[in-house]
Amino acid sequence: MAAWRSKGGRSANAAKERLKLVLIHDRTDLTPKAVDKMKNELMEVISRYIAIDPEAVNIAVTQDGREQRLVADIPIKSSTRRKVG
Amino acid sequence: MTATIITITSGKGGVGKTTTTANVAIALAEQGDKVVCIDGDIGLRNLDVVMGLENRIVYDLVDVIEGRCRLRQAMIRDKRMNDLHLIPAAQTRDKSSVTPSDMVRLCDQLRDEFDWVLIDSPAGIERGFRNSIAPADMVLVVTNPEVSAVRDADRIIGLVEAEEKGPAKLLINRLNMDLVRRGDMLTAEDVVELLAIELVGIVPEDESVVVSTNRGQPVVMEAETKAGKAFRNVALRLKGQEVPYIDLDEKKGFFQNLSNMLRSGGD
Amino acid sequence: MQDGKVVQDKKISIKIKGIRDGLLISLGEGDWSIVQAELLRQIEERSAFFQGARVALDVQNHILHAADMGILRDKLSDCGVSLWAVLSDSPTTERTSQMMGLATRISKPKPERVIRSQSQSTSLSGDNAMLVKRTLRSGFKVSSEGHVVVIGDVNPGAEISAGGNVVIWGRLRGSVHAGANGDLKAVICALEMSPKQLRIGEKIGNLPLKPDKKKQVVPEIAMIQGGKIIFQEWKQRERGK
Repeated sequence: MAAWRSKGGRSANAAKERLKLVLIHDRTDLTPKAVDKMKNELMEVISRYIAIDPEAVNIAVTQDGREQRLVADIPIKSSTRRKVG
Repeated sequence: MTATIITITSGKGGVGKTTTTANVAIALAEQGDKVVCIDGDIGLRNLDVVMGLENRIVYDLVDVIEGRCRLRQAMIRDKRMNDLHLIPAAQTRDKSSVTPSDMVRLCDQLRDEFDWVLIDSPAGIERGFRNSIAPADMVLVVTNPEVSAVRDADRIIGLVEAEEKGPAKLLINRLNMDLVRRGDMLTAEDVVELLAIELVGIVPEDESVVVSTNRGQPVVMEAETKAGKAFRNVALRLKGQEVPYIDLDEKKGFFQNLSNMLRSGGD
Repeated sequence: MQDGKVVQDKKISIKIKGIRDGLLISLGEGDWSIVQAELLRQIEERSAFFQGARVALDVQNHILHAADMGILRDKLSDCGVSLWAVLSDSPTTERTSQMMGLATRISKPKPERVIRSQSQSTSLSGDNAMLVKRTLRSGFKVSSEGHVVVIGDVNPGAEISAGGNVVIWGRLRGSVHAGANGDLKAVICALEMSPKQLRIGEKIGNLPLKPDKKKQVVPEIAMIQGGKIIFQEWKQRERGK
């Protein structure tokens, strides 16, 4: 069945993507705005400890069966180590 | 013999709870099981008219609970089957007429005499829904492959878990293969992926259902219809049988005669 | 759309009503810890009023387990409030209440379903009739300042009280009081007149002790004539009033 369906532009795909977002937000009580706010705050806190590239950061709420997960994938910038002493 | 109590619910209205309850009840009764259905709505009657038993109502659920009649007096026996009964809904506006423990007590009385108690829950998440799930051993969530139905079903599944009734089971109703082929309807797989609970049935969109409801003859009783077959399979799966899903995907142009296709390709 | 869980900004609905057995407090939606905190805050704010009060709590959709309910009961008790009932839509909460020895219903004297006339008017203009399109079963009570017309039966145990006339297009086997505000010209009509009790104004109708089964059932009208209630065949011409 998947073979027949064109990948883009069909309304069922849009429905599925919209539902994915809506369900996560219904289940966790987090609106997209709240997630953005949380992401920014997280990045701010994390940058106090390590150097990160904001562009490469991926923080998302995903579905895992009936459970929800906050998944963060944050590449750490390799820093020139300060020589001690 | 202890009955299994199944509540059929959905969240969103109009997705086919009542049709499902009526048809699964009859399918189980056709197998020789003893079945009683309860219309769990408080204030609106649906199950009686879908089953074609609307002219035989004397007493209803609230009459039983408030002690105006005995349980047996409110049970309408469906004469078409061997042992199939209906307890109709009350037409009262009083929301507090029935409490969850009233329903539990009533179902306890039914447990020893029947194999199945099917409760048709009203739509929504309020008292009627809560009453209906209170006695349940299993909750069957009916949904349509459509955004608001799936969203509401998800909410209901969460509430059923919160009320400690365990993971619900899923029935996808009104799947329209033409729309699916065009990419304009969610597939059954999509819905299962989103809701992430165990599937017990897929019922295709079928005009026969409208005709059957008009006649008060639930579609499982008619000659081979797609929906009828699907509901019968749901009953079998509930009884623990492994029934493969009907291939609803007729290959276009190859088989012109639909019923031939069903007869040769069906379960 | 609000930002995330900003429930603190939403007003928690807490309704307090006086009932026969004390107070009924209805709690609205929201996070339970926040709702409970708001409830206790309001009680502490008016501690004198609540001191010694018997309270029934309607928690509606909240799902409460023994721990939550135990804590609630204790905190209420600290404020001098005695919790005797917890009403809820949730089966889980109801089970918890029962387990903790709390009532789950506010008892009513008799299960009564009342249909009240919407009309505020007390005048009996000929057109002002309340139409009831159903059979009235035991426990039903219909009350109106004006006329009442029932399409259906009135079963034993059902009651109708009307300031005006009562017309029953069906079997009258329940109790009817027409002219309840003192109108002695009021009439009662039924396709089958077998009432349990019948009154017009302050007069009480004398009903046959044993209905004569051989007598053919005809529509009848009851009215006051010569100072007492009489029954006549209800024919088109004699429609009364």
